[in-house]
Order: sequence, then C-alpha cells, then structure tokens
Amino acid sequence: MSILTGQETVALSPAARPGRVSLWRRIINHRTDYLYVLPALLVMVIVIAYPIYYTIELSFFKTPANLQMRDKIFVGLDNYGTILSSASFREVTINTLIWTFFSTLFAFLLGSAAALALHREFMGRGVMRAVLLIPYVVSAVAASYVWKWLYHSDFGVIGALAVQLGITDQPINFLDNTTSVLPSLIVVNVWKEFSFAMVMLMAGLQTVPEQLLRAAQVDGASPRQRFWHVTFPHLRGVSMVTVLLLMVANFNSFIIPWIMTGGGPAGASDIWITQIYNIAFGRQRYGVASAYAVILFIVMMVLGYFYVRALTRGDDARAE
Amino acid sequence: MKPPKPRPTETVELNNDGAKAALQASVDMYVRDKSVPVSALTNTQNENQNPFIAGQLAMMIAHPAEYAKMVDLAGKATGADKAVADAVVENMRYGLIPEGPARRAVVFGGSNIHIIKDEYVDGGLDEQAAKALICFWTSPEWSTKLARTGSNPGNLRGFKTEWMKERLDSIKFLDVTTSMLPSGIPFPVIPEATEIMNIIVPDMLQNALTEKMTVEEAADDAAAKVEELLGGL
Repeated sequence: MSILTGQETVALSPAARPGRVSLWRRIINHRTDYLYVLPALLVMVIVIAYPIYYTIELSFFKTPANLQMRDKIFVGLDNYGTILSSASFREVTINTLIWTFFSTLFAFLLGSAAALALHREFMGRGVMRAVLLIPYVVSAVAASYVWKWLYHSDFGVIGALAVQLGITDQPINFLDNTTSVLPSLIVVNVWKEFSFAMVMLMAGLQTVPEQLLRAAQVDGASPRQRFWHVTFPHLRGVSMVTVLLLMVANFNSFIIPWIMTGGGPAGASDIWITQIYNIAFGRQRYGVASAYAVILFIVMMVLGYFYVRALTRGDDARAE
Repeated sequence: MKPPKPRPTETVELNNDGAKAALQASVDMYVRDKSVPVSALTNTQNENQNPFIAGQLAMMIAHPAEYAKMVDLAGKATGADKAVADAVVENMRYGLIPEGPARRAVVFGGSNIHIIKDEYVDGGLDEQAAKALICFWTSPEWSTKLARTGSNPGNLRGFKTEWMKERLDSIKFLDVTTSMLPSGIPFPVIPEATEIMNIIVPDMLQNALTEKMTVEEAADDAAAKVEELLGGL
C-alpha cells in the first residue's frame, strides 16, 4: 500500500497501517492498561476458559462408570455421533425449540404490553410496576416449588378451583400428562420472565423522543399510527437485544423444568439442558454430556454473535 | 487360565414374564382402574407425606421410619389441620406389600461403604483403620444401633440382638415392616446400579403409565438400555 503526498510516495508496512496495529504491538503500547485488567483476565481464564477447554476435551472421550476419569477412553467424534443418531435427540431438540420459541415469544409480548401500559401516567402506577416485577425477583427455585404445588394433579389449587367453579369434573392434569406438561412449564417460565422484557422495554420507551410523538399527533396520526411509525422503530434495537437475551436464557433454562418435572413424564419436558444434566450427573457419562454441552455452546455462540451485533449496531457509523 | 466369573447381572431380567406382569399390574392400577392418584406418576416419597398427613392419601408405600415422621408432622400441625393430622396418626396402620402376579417382593435399598484408593487421599490411607471402621460399622451391634429409628440393620445377625428387640418394642409397626424381609430382593451391587434404579426403571414405568409405549415395548426398551449399559457403554 502507498500514500501519495504530493511528489512523494511513502510505503507503509502492514504493521504501520493506521488502525491495523498488531495485537502484540498494542499490548506493548498499552502495557499499563493491560496490567490493570490482568487479574480479571486470569480469573476469567480459570473460571471460563478452562472449563470450556476441558468440556471440549472431554467430549472426545468416553467415561464409563466403572473407570476412573484418568482412564477415560479416546473415541474421537463418537460422542457427537451417538447424540445425533440417538432416538431421544430429535424429541429433546423439538422440546427445546418449542420451549425456547414460545417462552421467548410470550414473555416478550406480555412484557411489551406491560411496558406500554405502565408507560402511561395513572394512579397506582408505581405500585403496579413493583407488583409486576415480583416474578423477576422471586427465586426461581422457590417459584418452581410453589407452581409445582399449584399445578399438582391431585391436590393443586388451580385444579381445585377449576372443579369448584364447575369448569372441569376432575382436577386438571398439568404435570403428569405428556401433552400438557411442556405448555404448563412454558406458562411458568413466561410468568417468571416477562418482567425482564417489561423492564427492558420500559427503558427503551424512555428513549422515544417526545417531540416526534407530539409532531405526529399534531399531524393527525392516530395512537396506532404513532405507535407503529414513531414508537416501534425506536424500540427495534432494544427489542432485538431483549429477544436474544430471552432466547439465550431459555436455551439455558434449567431450574424450572428440572425442579418441576425433571424432564418427565416419559421425557415429555426434557430439553437440552436437563438432558445434559441427566446424562452427566444421573448416568455418569461425562463424555457424552460434554459433547451435548459443546453443541449447546455452539448454538449459544451463534446467538451471542447476533447479540453483539445488535448491541454494536451503528457503532461503526458513529465512529466514521 | 480360568474364564472370568460372570457378573450376576449378565442376564437382564427386566423384560421377563414376571417383570412384564408386574409392569402390567401397575398400568392396570394407574390407567385402567385409576385406583392410584394421577400424581403418583411423578410424586416422590417426601411429596406424599403432606397429602398423607392431611388425610388426602389413603395408602402409600413407606419406610418403617414413616410413622415417626407422621407423628412429627402431626406435632407441628395447627388449627383444623391438627385434628385431621392426629386422626391420621391414630388410625395409621402398616401392611405388607401385596403379592404381585409372580410373588410378594420388595426391593431392598441399602448403603455402600467405599475405601478410596490412597493416591486420591490427602495424607495417605490407613487401610487397617479403614477396615476396622467398616467392621465396627457393619457389626451386629452397631449396624442395629446406628439405624435406631431409621432402616433395618445391614447385618442379618443384628436382627437377633437385644438392641433389635428394643427397637421392635419401642418403634411402632416395625415388626410389620421387618416381616417383609424374607420377600426382599437385594439390588445388585454394581457401578451401574444407580443409573438402572434412578433412571432406566423409572423411565420404563413412565413410558408404560403414560401409554407412550406398551408394556412390552417399555420393558424391552428398559432391558435393552440395561444391556447397553452393562456392555461397557
């Protein structure tokens, strides 16, 4: 590459290109800065990088229950083949997709509705906001046990109310039925998560310029038009981030399905994360569980990529 | 060289006629007769305790220590619940597990003691001390005393000790539960036992009781999983 400066031609080496300084050179130039973050980096290497490395390594081994971990057997990609060809993988993957899609969709829609409702001034708005935040701050473990008893197939409050109100003859079988168990868990998950979407979108609504809304109103735009043409475009970024965070949380959601059903009955509510736990700590097959975790990790990385893109969208334009 | 001694689990019997008949009996109770609560499919032993003391469950399979637990729960009950709980304790009785299609049987639980290899123990291993501890622990006297209010002694000679007599005199209904002992089936002590007991067998039951599989399919599926497991993964 060369730069023409009048009569002279000055050749620049790749390392000397502005904005393309090598990583090593940058570290040397900013060594003091890097020293400041070194302790944090070391902690991250220990608690994040090493477990990831060990999980990937373990995914290439078989770990029979009758062998010590140090005697594990190298099997290459066999564990991945075992997972992808297993009869349960398809069922568990479908459950995971249903769980993630519907949990994310309904948590987002409910959160959006709550955020829009709370954006208006009305008496008791603060109290209502606090009440709607309760699911988010309640411990997931405690909430799971409470919902488990609410849903109980024989003695649950919901079932008893349904009978007393004449809606059904018998208590509703929420959790001991292969058809209704997953939707029932999704309801609990949505109840737990919608507050998060609500908070995110409430913050997003604060960024909508008041002048634009007033101008649209002066121009005769109806409330619906103001929402779709002014408010909604401003919420697009925060909505994208919220949906991605919800998806990541739902793919990784363990507490609610594990405590309420343990993946049952008959695997009807088994999702990837409960399956991984069961394979690792129930069946002691750490190699297969690690391979499963690596697959989940790849999915998470793809979602993470889009999350970062959504977060940094416009940064390049601003930098220019 | 002598061939290796076959392991006791080399023949998987989980799908033999008796096992299938037992599974069918469970399906008949749960699916056909509906004589078992719906929640029995997933309820754990602890989750049965509250409905039982509240008078909502007529019968459950329980440990000898369950009576003491019920007395304890009744002691903590208040208001209208207290009267119900006291009545439950007053009327509580134990019976033998009914005879199944093949025979009367109960699977023994149990506990294991492991000595960790010295290379995994900080400060080394005193093997003699470890063996002495096991001898103490499993002796007729202490296996009975250590299980005073809980399970039965692991050492059969413990049943003939004076401490067992003391237990029988002071723990209500213990005589009924110990009378199941001749019908007991010990679970094979193999590393794979946990997976078989906690995952494969419950899965088999849930597959059959939810009608996801027929009794035949569920039993064969479970047997195949055990075969695969014992085949060394």
